[in-house]
Amino acid sequence: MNPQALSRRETLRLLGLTTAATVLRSGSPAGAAASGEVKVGLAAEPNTFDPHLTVGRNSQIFIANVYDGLTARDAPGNLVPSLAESWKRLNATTWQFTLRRGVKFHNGDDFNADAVKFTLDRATNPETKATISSELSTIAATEIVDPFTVNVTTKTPDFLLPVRLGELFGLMLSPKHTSAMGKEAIATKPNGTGPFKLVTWAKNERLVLEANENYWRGAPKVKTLVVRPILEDAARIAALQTGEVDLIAPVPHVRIAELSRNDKLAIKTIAAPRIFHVTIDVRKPPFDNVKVRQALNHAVDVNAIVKTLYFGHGTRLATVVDKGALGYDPGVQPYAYDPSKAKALLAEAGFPNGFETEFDSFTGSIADHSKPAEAIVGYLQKVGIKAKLNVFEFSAFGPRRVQNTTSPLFIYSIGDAYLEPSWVIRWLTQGGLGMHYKNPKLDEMLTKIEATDDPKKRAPMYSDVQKLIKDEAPFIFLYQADAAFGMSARVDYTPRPDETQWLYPLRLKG
Amino acid sequence: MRAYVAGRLATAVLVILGVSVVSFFLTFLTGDPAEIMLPPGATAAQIEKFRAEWGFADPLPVQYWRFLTRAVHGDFGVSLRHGQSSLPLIVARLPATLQLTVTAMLLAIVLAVPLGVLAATHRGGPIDLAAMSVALVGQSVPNFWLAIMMILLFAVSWGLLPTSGRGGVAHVVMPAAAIAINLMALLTRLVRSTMIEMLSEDYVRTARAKGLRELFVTGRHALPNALIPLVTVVGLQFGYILGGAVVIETIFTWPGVGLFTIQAILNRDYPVVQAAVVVLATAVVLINLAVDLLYVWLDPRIRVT
Amino acid sequence: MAQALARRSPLASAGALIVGLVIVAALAAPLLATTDPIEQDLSAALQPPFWRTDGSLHHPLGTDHLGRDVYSRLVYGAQISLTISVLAACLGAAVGVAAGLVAGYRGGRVDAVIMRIADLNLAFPLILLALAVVALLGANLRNLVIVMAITTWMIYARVVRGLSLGLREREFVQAARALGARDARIIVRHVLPNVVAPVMVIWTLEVARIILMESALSFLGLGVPPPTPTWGRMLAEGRDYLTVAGWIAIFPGLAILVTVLGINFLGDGLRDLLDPRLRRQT
Repeated sequence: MNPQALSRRETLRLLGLTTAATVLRSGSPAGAAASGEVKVGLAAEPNTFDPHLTVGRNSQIFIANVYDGLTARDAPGNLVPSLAESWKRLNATTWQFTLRRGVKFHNGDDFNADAVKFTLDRATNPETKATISSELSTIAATEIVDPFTVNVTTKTPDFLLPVRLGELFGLMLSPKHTSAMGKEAIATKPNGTGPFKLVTWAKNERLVLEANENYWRGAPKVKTLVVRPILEDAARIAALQTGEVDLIAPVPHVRIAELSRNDKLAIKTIAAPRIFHVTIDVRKPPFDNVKVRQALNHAVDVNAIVKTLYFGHGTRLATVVDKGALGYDPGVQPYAYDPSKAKALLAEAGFPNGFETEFDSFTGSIADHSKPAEAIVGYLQKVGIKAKLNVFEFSAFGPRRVQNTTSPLFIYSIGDAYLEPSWVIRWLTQGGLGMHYKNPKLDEMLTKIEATDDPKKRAPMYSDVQKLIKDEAPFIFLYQADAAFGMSARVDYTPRPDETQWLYPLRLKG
Repeated sequence: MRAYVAGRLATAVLVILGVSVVSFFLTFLTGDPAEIMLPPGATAAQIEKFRAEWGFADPLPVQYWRFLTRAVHGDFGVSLRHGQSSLPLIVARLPATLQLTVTAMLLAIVLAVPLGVLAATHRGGPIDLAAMSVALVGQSVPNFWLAIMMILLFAVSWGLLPTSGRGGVAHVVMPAAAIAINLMALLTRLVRSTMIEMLSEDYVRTARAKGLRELFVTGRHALPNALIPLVTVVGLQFGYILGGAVVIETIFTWPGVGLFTIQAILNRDYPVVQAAVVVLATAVVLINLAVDLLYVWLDPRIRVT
Repeated sequence: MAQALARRSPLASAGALIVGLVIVAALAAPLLATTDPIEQDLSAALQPPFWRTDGSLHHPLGTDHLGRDVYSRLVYGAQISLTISVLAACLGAAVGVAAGLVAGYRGGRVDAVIMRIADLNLAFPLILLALAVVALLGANLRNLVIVMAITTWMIYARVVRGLSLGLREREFVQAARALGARDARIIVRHVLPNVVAPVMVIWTLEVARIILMESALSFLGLGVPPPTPTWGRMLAEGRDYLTVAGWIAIFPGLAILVTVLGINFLGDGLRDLLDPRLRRQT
């Protein structure tokens, strides 16, 4: 499309009818109407537009363009109001949300307390068999106080409830529409309050989204989004290079340098909150000895792995707290790469000649784990730890975790969707799924943190937690990788720190 | 004859049922759909609860019976991942697969016949070597490398073709060519041996001495015999491609059945896996039946009892 | 025999030479390789081959993403890739030809059962089969050979059956039976020679397909367990780096290409050699 023609058209519209209509519309800020078309190439498309049946991060981060949650995140990652204007904790197990007025669903239905109750009841109803039920399992009941106020009670004190009801797991449905359409239809005909409406969807071919002109934050700048799933990295990049698409995600790290040299393209990266780590089974000797665990950490040159496998597009992590999470303490230094110290520690622990063990990794899944696993095993080899590498196909690996039959060492990653270390650490110390490290002192520290509502007060409390985890070394601490987006000179887009592919800020340049 | 066909159709149902049962059991024995469907932050207890909700915790024969009683009415269940009825999801992909498969087969035949004839008529010489090398190179080149190189050359460097996706002629050329080039070696080989056999038959030699027309008249006997392996193999390859052009479908994001099936298997999305294997099994069985009937037509001495 | 081969078919001699070289490379891998094929050195990762500016003779064909020497991996890879592919191809051929002969010659219910099993196998997705074998029996070389053999026997069975179907009714077979010859003898003396030629053709092509299938299985984590180098695994690993460090995938690709060419020429030559004798028999 000719950018010149676009702006002419845009100007005509501004001078024409749209201006008057925008000013008269209540509740929404006046601004230019949406125009133009942007083509997007993604690695995968959502499996469904039913927010309770999404499978995989790729789906959840995309359908947030069609729906809204009660809360959201801004560009730097802070929790901000969305469909809820404010919220407060009434007591340990009750949160009260005050809802935004004047918001309508795409089909005209009103958003109010009924919608919230309907949505949360549906998500927690066993008959729905919601795939996100695990994330909302703390919810006990939802009570309507008045048309724009709801109380949500939880089974146990849950300080994360406002985050849960955000863009990943708290997307709001219209009661009337959802009940009328039925479960199967909602998968392909969503009705949300979000910035875009789904116009057409040819599975595995293309998705067309159109701007919601009445969006309560103001209409998006771009009128039409054509989203194509392009599975193969090389083909996706080729599509960007030929101009077939204007924005792609993800861009493999190995291609970033080459594409950055192309001045018709721009590559933007942002640290993705996915924490890579190697879980150590602390119950099985010799891993019950903290010296051995520390030796493992000294043995692996994590910086080299980030440099070589991720081409520098990653961040070394000292513990299992990601850079963008609340309370991340850069003062806690990662273990230094020191193979001789590793050997010395092993000797002190009684293994001067190392020992044999097994290491699990897998193929498939949202990120590559098998390459870093091979690199890590190579480093362990150099200090005398002969680890037999087992590779599984991802779905075959799952049962091993569930049945706790994983090897003493296995690589994994967890996406910190909540940007809250306590959530990650609780999951990592759950005593199941192959993770068996437990520390009562750590639990105590976390419980105190979770009872503190004010994030500003919580943040500094995490420093001691990180120091403790580092010293205990129940994991081989690794890194988080960057997410990379590629775009043509035609568009401007700033990625968000929580992996969401939030396309509302997308705009055409010139 | 009618009895034969009826018998074959009856055993076809048994074959399809067999494929269905085995794949159902293997889907569950090799992995767990529940664990894959939940977000990564789910705990072990939550996974168990989810399994119970979806009925995955029941014994496999019970689950299969549940599935079968609905399947005979045409309802293969709702896809675990896509939330839609699985059989229509698979059937919706058949046109794309057929478009690609048929184009690829035609391209392969168009390339293989001249190469094979050339090789046969210059048998043993350098032209034979060259033609066979071309065909063999096509088969031994990794198809993902070929596909990506084609995209880089024809789409990015020369801007002649679109990079990926489904569409008309311009979109189907590269994926079909990638499949055809891989397939070509086998067909070239077969054409070559067919021609060689034909050309070396005694009666052909006499016919040639008498004049070319005799060749065509008497060729009626040699050709069908030599065609039997050809027909068999083309039929088999059709079946292979229908289910197996996964790499090409992935690289070009061609929305075919093969790719969809592989994803369903990796996701243990058993309703889709079932729909896919049943459709594929039906196709294979019908193609093989057609091939067997073709044998009878080609060589009347073959009796099918 | 070898002299006869060389005289009659330059094709076969070329093939034999290539195959011979590959086998020697495979057997002498420890002598020919310059470094340990699984030793990593991340600081030397993605080094180009020696003729490029950043390359060196220390790593003549460059290094892969973990700094491992491509040349040494290629040489060691010959051992494993060849062994499993040829074993799988032979196993599949043996089972397939036997099944096809029995089915085609005997006909009737035996034929029906064997062919329906072949149908079942054909219709069954390879991936599911490979997943099952790996998950239930473990990922090792023996199981990989079995999986690959299972994907190949059907084509022999169907072709051989087709060829033997008509033969039972032929005059010379009927005559032999009238003279009291047993079925097995008839099959071996009269039917088998007719199928050698097409079987050989199919075998040589199937070896190529199997070598490449190993790559697809490695890609999914179902192939030979790492860090063992095989050509298929090197191809799979090189796929992500195709546009940036093409040498990782190109050299194993070339190795496969040359090996497949060699096997095919050899097979063709052998078939041509055996062919005239067959002609005389029928």
